Amino acid sequence: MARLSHSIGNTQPTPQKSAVSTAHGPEIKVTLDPPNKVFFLTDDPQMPKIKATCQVPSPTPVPAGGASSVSGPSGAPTSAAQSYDWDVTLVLNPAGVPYSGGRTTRHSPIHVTTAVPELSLPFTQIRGGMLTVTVATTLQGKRITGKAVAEIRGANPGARLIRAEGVPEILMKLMQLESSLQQFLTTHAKAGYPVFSHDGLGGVGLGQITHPRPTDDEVWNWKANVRAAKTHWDSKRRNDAKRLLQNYANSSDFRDLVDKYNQTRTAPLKPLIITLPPITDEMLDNEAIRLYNGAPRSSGHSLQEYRAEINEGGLLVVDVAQDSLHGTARWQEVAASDRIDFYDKWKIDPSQRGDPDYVNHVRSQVVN
Amino acid sequence: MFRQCAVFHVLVLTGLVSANGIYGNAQTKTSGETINRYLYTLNCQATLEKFDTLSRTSISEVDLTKRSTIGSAHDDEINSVEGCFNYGVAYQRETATFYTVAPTKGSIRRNVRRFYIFAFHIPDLQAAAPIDLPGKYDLWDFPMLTTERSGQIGIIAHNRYSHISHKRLIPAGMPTDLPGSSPPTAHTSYELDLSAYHSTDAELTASTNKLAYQPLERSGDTELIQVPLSKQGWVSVIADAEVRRLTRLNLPFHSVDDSVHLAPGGKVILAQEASYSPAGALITKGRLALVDTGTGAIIKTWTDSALDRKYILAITPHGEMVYYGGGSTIFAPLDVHPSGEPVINLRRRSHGPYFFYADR
Repeated sequence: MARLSHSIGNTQPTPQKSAVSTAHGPEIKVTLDPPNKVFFLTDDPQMPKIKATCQVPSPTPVPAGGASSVSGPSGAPTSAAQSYDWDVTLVLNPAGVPYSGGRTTRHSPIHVTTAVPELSLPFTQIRGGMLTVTVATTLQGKRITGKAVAEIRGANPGARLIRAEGVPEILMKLMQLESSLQQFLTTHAKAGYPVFSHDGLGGVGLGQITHPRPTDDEVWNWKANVRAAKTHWDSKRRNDAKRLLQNYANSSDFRDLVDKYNQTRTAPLKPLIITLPPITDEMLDNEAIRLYNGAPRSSGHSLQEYRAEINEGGLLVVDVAQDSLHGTARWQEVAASDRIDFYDKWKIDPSQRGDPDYVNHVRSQVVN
Repeated sequence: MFRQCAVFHVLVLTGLVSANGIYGNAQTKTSGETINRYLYTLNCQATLEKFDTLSRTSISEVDLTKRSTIGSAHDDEINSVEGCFNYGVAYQRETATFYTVAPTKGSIRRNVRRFYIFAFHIPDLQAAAPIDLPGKYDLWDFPMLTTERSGQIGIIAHNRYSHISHKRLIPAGMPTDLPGSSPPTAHTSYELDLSAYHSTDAELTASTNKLAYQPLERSGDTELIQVPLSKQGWVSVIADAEVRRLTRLNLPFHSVDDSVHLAPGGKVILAQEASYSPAGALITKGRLALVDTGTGAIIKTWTDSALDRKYILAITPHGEMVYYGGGSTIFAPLDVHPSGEPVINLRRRSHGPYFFYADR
């Protein structure tokens, strides 16, 4: 079936529960049940249950000796084998949605033909936006159409539902900071539309999923968004954070510190074999938090949450073993003030610095 | 030698002089000097800023990522560019070209960053075709540009040294830096043959004929280095390559490798009180000292609270210190009359921002 010619422009349409689309001639009246202008996803989330009904105008009486003015050439009666061709579209119109950056989403096309003048909208995906239900049928040999438009908006789940998805508490805090634990706007004129990241990079929803580009599911289905956040978090924690911390012990940065330390150990002292303590779960969490948000562009020391501790002269702090041949350096978390000093020293533009205290800001979140 | 400023100086201005955040207090400037007049700084984000040291203004600010493929490295795996867009700078006066090294696209996760050498002509900043460097680097590692005493520019990449000539790499033996020094081997420090040097400081020459050191800055025959001492850790030392003399920098306050600076000509050192935080951030304060590199004697100490948490970048050929912080770059007078060759930053690690002087 050819898709009916109907487009949604960039200007915000006025929702209405029923309308007619033909400028001339008979028209089909389409009504939605329940008769809302705005429908909401449930917080499960599920699509709202909507039934569309159309009312076809009564056939024009056939004058004696003549054909009906609306009958087709065949003059076939409209009641015989009447069918209704439905097109349903559901499109996110980004106009007016803060920081959406033109992002749009679409429900897969729905084309259904029914023998009765009603259709329970057969959504197969969790989507929202502008809902357009168009129906066409034949009346006395002529195609006539009608449509109804409405909106579908999202509803935020509570923390209990989100936790039920197996979200670790640290990720709950991170999402609290990132999105105030909201998939959808609450107080805006576009309340119920997705929360996009203020940096304009297209991050969306509870987890502010940014890379890779969030799918339409992740835009509207908070469970999909949470799944992506969990995947992202697990990857950051298990792969990147762990790798970064493990690599540090072999980095030239640490090796140079060890070299400089050992060069101060003149005879009879021997150079120490210096290692770093094991990486703890808390370190992995903190490094993953810093990685989760991406690092500010090119900021020298931005990514690492931990470095080896040095003294005020720049010398590695080492706990020397009793054998005087081995030593253990110490991990040092990079404080916000350190990070700011690094940025200042490097003349990093403030707009490129990100949140220097991001980890603490995440950890201090309270999720009820 | 260290007269109060007067003879060749004229009063020029007070206060804010530029919308670029460059300002100074009551200042003096030398008249008519154009040698090394322009100070260029290059930061971690590949922003090149040009200052006129005579007028003490910022002339231009250019994003080198828009003039070249610097900055194209982006690690999609972790959604970030980590480290800096570029590392180090070396200026070749004869060709009016400066070099820097920058990573290409790679993966931090897999430790496979690769680097290119980028060359830019001064002052038009025309970029030459980048030179691909062999080998891969982890997150904390990068090739290091060097400037030999002869002025030859080279690069150390994976413990191999090459001269950079006509946009090509020519393998060469490791540079020796100071006379009597050996190039780095197992670690990043040079070794100095103490039999070729003399010093009145017994600790410097105490127990061995070889003294490890790391270079910081050079001007002419004077080199500011750091050497490890068993009790004090690493201390700053002045090495005079002409008379082969080592003089320890004895300051009335704590300083670190990044807070001591040679004046052009190498006759004076400006030191700022500083220490490192446990995580390695440089914490600077307002106590300052000028030191005679010939004798190691302190010429002057003073306190300027305006330099708290500010960073001294360099001393201009006209005897002013350039410091920055809080979004401003400030030229302030010093009672010094530098002469001779400009200062070359020899620090091996990523102590940025980088700088060089040029005549144009």
